[in-house]
Amino acid sequence: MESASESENDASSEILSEDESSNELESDVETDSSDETTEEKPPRRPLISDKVAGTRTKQMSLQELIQMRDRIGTKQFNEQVLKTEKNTKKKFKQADFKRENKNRPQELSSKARVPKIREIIHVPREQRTNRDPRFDNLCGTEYDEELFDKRYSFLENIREREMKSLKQQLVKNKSKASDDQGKLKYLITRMEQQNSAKKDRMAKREALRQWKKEERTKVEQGIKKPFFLKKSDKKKMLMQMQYEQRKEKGTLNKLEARKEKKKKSKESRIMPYQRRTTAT
Amino acid sequence: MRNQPCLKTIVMVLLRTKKRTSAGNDFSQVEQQKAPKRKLKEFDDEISSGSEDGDLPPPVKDLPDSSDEDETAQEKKMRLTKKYLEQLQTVHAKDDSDNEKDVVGDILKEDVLEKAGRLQRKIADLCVQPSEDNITRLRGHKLSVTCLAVSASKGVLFTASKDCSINKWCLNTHKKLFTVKGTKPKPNQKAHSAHVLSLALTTDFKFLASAGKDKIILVWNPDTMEYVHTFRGHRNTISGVAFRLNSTQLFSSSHDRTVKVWDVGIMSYVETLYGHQESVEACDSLTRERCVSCGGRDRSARIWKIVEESQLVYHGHTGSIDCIRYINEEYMISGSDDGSICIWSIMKKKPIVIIRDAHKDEKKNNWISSVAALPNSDLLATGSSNGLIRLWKCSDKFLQLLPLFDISACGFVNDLRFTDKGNHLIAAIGQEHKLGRWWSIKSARNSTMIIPLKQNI
Repeated sequence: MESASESENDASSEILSEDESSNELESDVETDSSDETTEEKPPRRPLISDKVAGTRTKQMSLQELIQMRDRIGTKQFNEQVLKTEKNTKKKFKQADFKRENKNRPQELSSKARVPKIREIIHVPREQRTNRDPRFDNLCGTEYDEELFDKRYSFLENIREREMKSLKQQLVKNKSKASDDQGKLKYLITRMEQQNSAKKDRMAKREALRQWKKEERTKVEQGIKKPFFLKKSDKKKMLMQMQYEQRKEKGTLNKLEARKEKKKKSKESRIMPYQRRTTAT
Repeated sequence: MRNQPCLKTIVMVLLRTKKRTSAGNDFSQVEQQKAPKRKLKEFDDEISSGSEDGDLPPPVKDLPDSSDEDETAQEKKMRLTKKYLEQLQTVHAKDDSDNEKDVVGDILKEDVLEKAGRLQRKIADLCVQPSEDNITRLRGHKLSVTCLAVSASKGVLFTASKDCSINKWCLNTHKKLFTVKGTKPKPNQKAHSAHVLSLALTTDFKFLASAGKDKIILVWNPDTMEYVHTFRGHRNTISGVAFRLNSTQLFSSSHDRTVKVWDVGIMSYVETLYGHQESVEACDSLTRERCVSCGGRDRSARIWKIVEESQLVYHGHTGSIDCIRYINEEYMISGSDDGSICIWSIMKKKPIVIIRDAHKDEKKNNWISSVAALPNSDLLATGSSNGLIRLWKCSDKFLQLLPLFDISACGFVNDLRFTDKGNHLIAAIGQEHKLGRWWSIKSARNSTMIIPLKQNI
C-alpha cells in the first residue's frame, strides 16, 4: 500500500520531468489515429493536464507550471495542483499539539509565519513593568521653571544668533516680495514676543524671590513668624511692581495716566496748601 | 545454532523499525525504482569492497520477484529480511568460524539501535592525544576558512572560506585538487560572490551544496566540481546547509528566520518552515526526515518534523546558540556564545547536561564557534578561540560529559568534522570568527587541520 502511493508520487514526478517529449508524441499519435479511423485507440499515457485541478492551471504551459512549482514548493504543488494521494500517515493539522508530560518539548506548527512585531526574548509577566510617566517618580517631579531655565540657559545664545541671522535675511530679501518674507516676519515677531514674555516671567520671579529673601531674613532675626503670600496677594504685589516700573519709564497708557492724574488732584484737594507741591 | 531464538526477535524488531522508517522519500528507494534489475552478486561485491564495521548494504526492498501480488506486504518484508540475513551471514561466515561471537547478531543489534537513535559506540576510550608532527595543516585560502565537508570513503575534503572560494583536497596526499574562485555578483553567477558559510555533501557523493552571505545555494558535482544548479529563495545570509543522510533532501537555515527544504533530485524548492524568532545560525540532519536548527538571539533549538509539519522547541541556553549537531537520532549537542555547551535529549525541553565556561581563558569566556560529534558514538569535539580544540567523552546514556584531552589550535575554530569512523578530526581554522570581524588573531594561520585520533584497537 505504501509502495503504491510512493509509485504514484514517483509517476507524477516522472510525468513532470518527461512531459515535453510526451506532449509532442501524444499529438502525433492522435493525428495518426484520426487519419486511420480505427476502432481501437492506442492506450493513452496520462497527461499532466488530466491530473491538474482547476481550469487556470490546466491552461498553463509546462514552463509556467514549473515556475509555479519553484515558487510555491513541490509539497504544496503536489497537494493542490496535482492532487496526488496523500501518504498512509494522513497529515492532520492539529490546532494545538498536546504533549504527554511537562518535561517534553513544546510542539508547534511549522507553517505559522512569524510576524515582524514579535517576542524574541520572553519576559515573564511578573517582571513586565507598565509605567505611566505622569505618575512615575523616575520621570521627573513637577515642572520647575527656574530649574528648567537654568539647565537650558545655553540655548539663549543660540536664540540670539538665530534672531540676528533671521533679521539679516529679512534685510537681504527686502527687494523680493514673496511668501517667505511673510514667514520670516512672522518668525521674527514670534521670537521677539517670546523673548519679552520670558523677560517678564523672569522679572516676576525675581520680585518674588526678593520678597522671600526679606521675609527669611526677618524670620531669622526673630521679628516675624514665617509668612506665606496668598495667590491674590502675590498678584497684587506683582501688579504694583509693574505699575511702578512703567511709571518710572513713563509708559503708562492713557487710562492709567488719567487715573493717576485724578488721584493726584483728589489727594491735593485734601492736602493742606503748604504741602501740596511737596506731595507730588 | 544456539543464537537462533534471539536472532528471530531481532528480525521481528527489524521488521517493525524498517516499516516505521520506510515512509517518506528514502533516497535508496528512489534509486532502486530506477534500476530494478540488480542481481544479488552485485550486492555481495558492494558489501565486500565497503567497510567491515557494520556499514549497511542498501535495504533489499525492491528486488524483482515473480510472486509480488500473491503475498501481503508483511510476507514480502519477511522474505526480504530473510534474504538480508542470509547475505550478512555469508559475508561474515569466516568471522563466525574464528571466534564464538555472534557477529551477525551484533550487527543487527546495532542496526536496530541506530534506527531507534540510541546507538552509542564506545570510541572515545580508544582515542589518543596526537603529537604535533602528526597533525597536517593545509594552507590554501587567503582569508579565514569558514566551513568544511569531508567524505572519508572517497578520501576527499572540501573547504570554503571568506574569500568566496571553495577548495577540494585529497585526504591521503594532502594536495589541493581543485579550486572554485569567487566572482563578482552577477545575475547568473556560477560561483559565490560573498563569504561562503556552509558546505554539505550527499552520502552517495553525488552533490555538494555551498551557501553563504550571497543568499544563494550553489549545487556542484563533487567529482568534477562542475556547477549544477542554483537555489534562490532565501532573503538573507544562509548560515547553514545540511543534507539528510541517504537522501536528496537539503535543509538550509538562514538569517531571514526561516528553514527551507529543497530536493536536489528534482532540483526544486519543497517548502519553508517558520518558527524561529531571530536569525537561524546552524542546522543539521541525520537519517530521519527531520532537521534540527538553532536560533541565534532567540536562544532556542528547534527540531522540525517535516512530515507532520510541526516543530519541537528546546530552551535552556542563556546566550545565542551558534552551532548544533546531532550525536544520534535522539541526542544533540549545541554550543553558544556564553561559552556553554549543552547536550539535549529530544524527549526533554531542557538540556540534560550543561557545561559552562567550556573554553574560558584569562581574558574572557570565549564563544563556542563550532561543535562536532561522531555520529552514533560517544566522542564529541568543541572549538573556540582560546587556542584549544577540546575532545569530550559522553558517559553511558549521555548523563555526563567528561573532557578527554585538548589539541592546540591557534585561531578561531570555525568548523569541526569527524571522519566516518572517527579516525580523523578535521578543523577549519581562521584568523576571524566566521560571522564577522569582532576580533582578529594575527598569530593564527588560515588553514585546515587534519588531526589523527589514533585508535588502539
